[in-house]
Amino acid sequence: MGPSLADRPTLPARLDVAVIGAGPALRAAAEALSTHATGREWAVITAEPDVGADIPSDHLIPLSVTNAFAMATHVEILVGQESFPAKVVIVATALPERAIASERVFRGRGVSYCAQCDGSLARHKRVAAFVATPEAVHELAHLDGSAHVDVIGPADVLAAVPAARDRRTHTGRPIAVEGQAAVEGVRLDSGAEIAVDQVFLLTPRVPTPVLVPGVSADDDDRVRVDGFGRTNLPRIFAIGPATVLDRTAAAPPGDPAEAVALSAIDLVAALPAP
Amino acid sequence: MIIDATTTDDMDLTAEGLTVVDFYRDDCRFCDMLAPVLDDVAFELPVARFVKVNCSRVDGLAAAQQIQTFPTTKLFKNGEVVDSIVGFVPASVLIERIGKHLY
Repeated sequence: MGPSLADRPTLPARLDVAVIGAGPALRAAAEALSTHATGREWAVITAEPDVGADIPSDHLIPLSVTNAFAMATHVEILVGQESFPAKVVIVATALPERAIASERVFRGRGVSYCAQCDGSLARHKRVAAFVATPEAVHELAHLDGSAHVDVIGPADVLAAVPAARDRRTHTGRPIAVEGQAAVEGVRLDSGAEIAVDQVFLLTPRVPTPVLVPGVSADDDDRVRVDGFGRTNLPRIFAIGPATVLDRTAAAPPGDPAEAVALSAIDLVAALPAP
Repeated sequence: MIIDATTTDDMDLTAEGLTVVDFYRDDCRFCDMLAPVLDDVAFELPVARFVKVNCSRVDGLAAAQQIQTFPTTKLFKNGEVVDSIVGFVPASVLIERIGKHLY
């Protein structure tokens, strides 16, 4: 029997602390919360099975977070088409395994991470879409209005891409976005160059400033934090390899994950009841 | 207060002073999230004029303004585009970007 709607994990009504991201930093944050967040509603939201395996099941939501939006009174966590509020968020992202040259330069100007959001802008254009995982394949439907779509991805993922008119497939991954004022093409690891107007990077590990719009980061997408994991956005904390210590407040002695978890919990306690 | 632009002529509103224009679409999650942020910022900064354009209904404006992603927030000072903010931004970041052009 295949998966049914009933098998899909449900989202919480609200959380005190949501931990989002990918990689080992998630696990460290979860451990610190297990010890210190007694009596608080907290959960790690990750679709990565190797990370989720170590997290107690009553604190794990095995889904992939699309975005976290810092609002005036809370952080809205978007998971696909649904969302829920959290008081504070700890972002524990990993750096991308392989960088794509000039990706950041063209972000929002021809490089997009959401086919559903920006597919309408790609109408009648030449589009390249990188589908990194099987989950991303269904997003290609949002690009149906494009002049043609060059689908790039690993061979096993491409096998799941339905054939369509004006759709070509290329095994591999993009290594550079090319262009002067606007996107003109994409270069692949095979050396092939494809002329396109818009590039969609449909990967589960999006850069932190894309995952959390408005968070301050350096040129390598590392989030600027102080020793307590505080970012430029009051309800957003960050930890792990995709951060850079950039503020005057020094890191307290001891485990960095613990310091971040404690400052997040302190903020929850200080916030007015909703 | 945010003015709802309904025709391309409404862009004449940007000719004088500082005007913040939010270009958005129906059925766009990021646009939905930005809407309450813009309400808050408009309340905080009454010295700037705020305009929103539903590009699903007002034909031609998105192309004329070279919008590549929704939402896009453009800052006009006396008719000139002085900043362009792509996607969702939290209120604090938007206030900082607008504040640079207030005086």
